[in-house]
Amino acid sequence: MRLDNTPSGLFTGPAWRKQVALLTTENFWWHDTFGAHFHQAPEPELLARLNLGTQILQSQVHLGSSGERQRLALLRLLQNQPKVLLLDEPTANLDRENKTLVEQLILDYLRRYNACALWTSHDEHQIKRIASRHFRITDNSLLATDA
Amino acid sequence: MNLILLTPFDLALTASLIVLLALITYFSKLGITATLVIAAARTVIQLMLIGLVLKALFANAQLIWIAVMSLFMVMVAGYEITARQKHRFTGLWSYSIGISTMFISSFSITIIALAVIIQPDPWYQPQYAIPLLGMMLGNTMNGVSLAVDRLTTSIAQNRGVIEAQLILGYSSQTAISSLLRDSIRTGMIPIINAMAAAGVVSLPGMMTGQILSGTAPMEAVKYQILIMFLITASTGFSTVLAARLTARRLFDERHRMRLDRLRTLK
Repeated sequence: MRLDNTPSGLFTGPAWRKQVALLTTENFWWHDTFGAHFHQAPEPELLARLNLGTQILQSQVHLGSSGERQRLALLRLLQNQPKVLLLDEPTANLDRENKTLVEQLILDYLRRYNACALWTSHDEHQIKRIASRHFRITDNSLLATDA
Repeated sequence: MNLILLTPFDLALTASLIVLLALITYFSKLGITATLVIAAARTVIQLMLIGLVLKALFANAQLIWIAVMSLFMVMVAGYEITARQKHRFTGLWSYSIGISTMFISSFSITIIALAVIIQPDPWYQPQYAIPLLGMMLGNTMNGVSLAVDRLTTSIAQNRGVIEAQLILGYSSQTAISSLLRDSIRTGMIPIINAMAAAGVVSLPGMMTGQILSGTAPMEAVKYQILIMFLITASTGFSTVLAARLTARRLFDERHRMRLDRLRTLK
């Protein structure tokens, strides 16, 4: 496996994971507040793009809704500026409005950082909106469908 | 002052206290009666045996026999450490970590204490060497087994959080640093408490023994201070080392968590 022509073996594990970032469906938090999980507080405009106020950074993790946690987990992951995103149902806990916001943010990110994403979804409409290529997993095999 | 000799009847009388305790735990269904009785029986048998061994060893004080005895003690302590773990490494890793850390710390500190500080003649005189090593190993073993058990348990319990940090590109050292700190503290707290309470709450066992056998209190105190410091150093070094080795074994060179290297007892 290679990233920008560099074999994965030349990266340390942590360095590789900063470049090839995985967003899991279940997100974990280990500090009391959301803000403590960021090296640098996200810009207010960035938070606003996901319908989040700056006060969310000071609030307790266990008081956050699943939707807030999911959106903040995405921002936390993007702080590393990864080249490849592995997104496991990144909008599963979101309502339609926030779902669109997250989709747009990710697509903008990919364009801006010349990155790519492998994105799993159960939502046919979402796939039509975002995907440049589409594969379907059926019976343990991967089938290319028309995008 | 002469030592008052204990008769078998004296010991039988004390044993009746254990029997009483066993009965109470049995009828209260505490589920600890068998463990209690077996441990009490082990105390009698093991101490009787060691009494015989020491008698023979003292009569025949050659370095080779003392070395054999010491190595045996280190091995048993290593086994005990492993036996107290809820999560153990597959293969011989748990034994190796326990035995090697005690060898590096307890064993070498005992030798330094004998050869440089106490200086009996010869330096390996078993009346000094064996009890000293025994006290070191007993305490060190407790510290190491507490720390390692705490570390493996907390890493297994916090698997999700640790993996989330690894996913974000944290190194394994960073991801478990607070758990490692906690586990080392857990291992060292008993001996630190023992130092803090020494003389005020409890008279340490060795000092009590020396006083009972007629040593002047200040002489017994000096020995106890020496022993306390040696034990603390031995426990501390071993605990730090064992916890670090354990942490290292739980991750591989790609900083992946390797809980598959543990097997869990129910």
